[in-house]
Amino acid sequence: MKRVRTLAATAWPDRLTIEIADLTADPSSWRPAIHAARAGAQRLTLTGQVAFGDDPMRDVVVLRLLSEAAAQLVDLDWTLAAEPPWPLRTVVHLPPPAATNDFAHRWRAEYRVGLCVYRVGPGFVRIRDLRPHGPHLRVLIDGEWATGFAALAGDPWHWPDERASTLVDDLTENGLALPLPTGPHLLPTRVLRWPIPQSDI
Amino acid sequence: MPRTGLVCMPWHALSRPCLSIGVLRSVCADAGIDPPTGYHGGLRFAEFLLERSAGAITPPDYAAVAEGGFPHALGDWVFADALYGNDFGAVAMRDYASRTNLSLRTASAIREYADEFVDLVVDELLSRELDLLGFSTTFMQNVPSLAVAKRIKQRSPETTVLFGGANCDGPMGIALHREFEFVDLVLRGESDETFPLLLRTLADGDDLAAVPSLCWRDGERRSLTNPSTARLVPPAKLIAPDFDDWFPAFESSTISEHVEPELVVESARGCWWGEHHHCTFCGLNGTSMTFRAKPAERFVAELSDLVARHAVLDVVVVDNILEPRYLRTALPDLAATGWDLRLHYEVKANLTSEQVEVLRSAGVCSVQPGIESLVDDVLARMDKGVRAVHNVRTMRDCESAGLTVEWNWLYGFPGERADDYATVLAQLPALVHLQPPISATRIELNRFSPYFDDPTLGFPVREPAPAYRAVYDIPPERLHDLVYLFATPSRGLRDEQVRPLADAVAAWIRDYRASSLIRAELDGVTVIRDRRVGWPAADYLLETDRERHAWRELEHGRTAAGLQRKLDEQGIDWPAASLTRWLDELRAHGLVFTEGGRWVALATAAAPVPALATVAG
Repeated sequence: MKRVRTLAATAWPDRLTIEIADLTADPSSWRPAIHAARAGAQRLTLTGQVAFGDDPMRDVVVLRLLSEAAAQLVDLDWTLAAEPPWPLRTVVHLPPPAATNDFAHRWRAEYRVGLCVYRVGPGFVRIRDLRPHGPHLRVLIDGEWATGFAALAGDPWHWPDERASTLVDDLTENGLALPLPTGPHLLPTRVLRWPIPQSDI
Repeated sequence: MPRTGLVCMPWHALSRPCLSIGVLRSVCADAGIDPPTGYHGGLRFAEFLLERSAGAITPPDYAAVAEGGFPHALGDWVFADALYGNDFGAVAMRDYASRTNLSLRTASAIREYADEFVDLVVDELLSRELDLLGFSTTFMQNVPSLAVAKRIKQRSPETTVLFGGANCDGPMGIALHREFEFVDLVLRGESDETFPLLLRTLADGDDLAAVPSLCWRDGERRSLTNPSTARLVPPAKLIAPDFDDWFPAFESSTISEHVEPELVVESARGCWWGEHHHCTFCGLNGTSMTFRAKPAERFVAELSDLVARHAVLDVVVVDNILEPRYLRTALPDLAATGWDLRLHYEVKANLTSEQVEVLRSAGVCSVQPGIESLVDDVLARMDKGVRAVHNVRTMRDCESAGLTVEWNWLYGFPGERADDYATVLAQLPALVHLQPPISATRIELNRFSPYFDDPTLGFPVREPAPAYRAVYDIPPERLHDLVYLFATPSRGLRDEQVRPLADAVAAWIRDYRASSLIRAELDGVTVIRDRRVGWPAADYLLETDRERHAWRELEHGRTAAGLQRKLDEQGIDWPAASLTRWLDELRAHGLVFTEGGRWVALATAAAPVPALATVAG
């Protein structure tokens, strides 16, 4: 058996990186890194600074990356350039950025795992929203609305039809969807892994 | 048919319906009887406390007594004054608390409201104009139920009062009927079949002597007890609960703003291990140890129906032990649904890593494997049927799969010696990346356990636990048959010998979250990444075939001789002396745990790591 202090970075680095410039609308630009980090028990670093509000497409991609990291319980390091165009409550359930400004400080202070999540059951979706600075919500979506929710969750570029837009309006009104120029972004993250102890969610 | 209500008093969990009421509602429907209405006294008490105290007494306060009060009978004590009056038990409990360093702050605050609450419950129950009220009582529900029952009989003597549930099993039901004259009937043991029979017998005016296991009163109010039937409910007759009355009550309660609802189900009763090797300290199962599991497809169908009907994905399965065949049947079927379930199961700590993965895939997020100890001698004394390396293997594989492991370290077994703990305690720092016990606790003497039933096993002197003196106005010699917990002189580790164990467990709890020890396969090399608190950050490389094969064998838990034999079978030559040196080296780095001559690898498994470059030294 050979003991080394730590392996060289190229072998099994403690952290993986994604270049912010490499992010595209195609989830294959970031999803494999999240899965690799999960598999190898590594931290993930998003290099560069995120400036929400400058580029709608970039906004939704970063939000989805953060949501996926939350769902997979992957530790993500990233930096926020400036205060985003949304209140803290909108994003506080997502992995927080480094504490480089006041907004990020507050985000880090108030974040905890499982603040705003959804889970899928037979013919229904359950949303639990415990984010601070607003009402705590338990929402049940069932029937065709559950199907509509799943469609939106699976495809952020999907513009809802007239019927589904009623669902989006409801979700938006309750702070559970974010209307972006590219389409609505669902804020709750799915519970794909449970923390230890599982009662943390 | 008598108009019947079923009552579940505090301290039932606020998050879930009462399983016994749910089952009795179903068996009645199955027998062509209208399901009795449920009265959910736990929910009612929590909302009553919240309202009357203007928010000062919250659901977490209720939960603190419900979840932590049982060893001290605190939940019963809260209602003891409501049962007996004259502030019964106040002085006795203060004395007890002072001797045991127990805080009474929360329980005392709640006790102030118990009497008024009992009146409220009586008003609400009588307003339902029922002929029969059945109280389901388990753990600390005796005195709250008795307090209500007594006033029901005072105000409505014609109402029949029935008690049942785990607190009425065996001699406890007979004693309860003997001591509390206002209790008309006690149905002991499983009542899936006897409860509908009792209702029909009452409706038809037939002889109560024909209802098995029933305690009843003759014309002179004398207590009579019918023989118990030897027949337990067969697996095919175990029925799905009906919770249709609880969920609306929960949703309309202010408690739903504080607590997430969950389902509670049973897929089996009894314990297949306990049928043949009853763990010496275990008092669960009472008179019904025989293991009976529902057919897998029926359980999956029942669970699916309940999940869909109530749109709830959190499920507590109350089985004492998982039916092993479910690992090939029910659990894969649940995994195939794709639902985001969260299940809790009790399991035996002899699962393979593949079986742990089956649990995870099915949505089992937490398990209670009955680990109890990591000392082989102690595990043998409790007749646990597993060795320490099996326990560690289960802890490791659950950690790899992300399953929460609930366990307590138990000590105080007759014959155990501090010396038996020494080698294990020295190795506990190596386990810091695995989930620690909740605490290290001296075992209790519980009714129905082998230690209780057979005084020659080490606890010949016993008396009802002292807290009961603050709860029941009954002399000790008559109290003996009524209660579940007993005081007895300590055995095994003396109190002053517990300190090293307690300190080691405290350090384990403190450092667990910051620790990891992970094994991954990188381009033909096994790498063990050590990031445990208390150990130098290091990566260990197993570069040779024989090291990698030996490590894989150690993941199962092997003796040195067994390991050598396995390697021989694989055509790998590793001289014994050299292999022993390698094992010692692994142990020096805390990469293995050894006990009872067996060795088990400690690193949790990372999923295959993709796209990694060649390992560099």
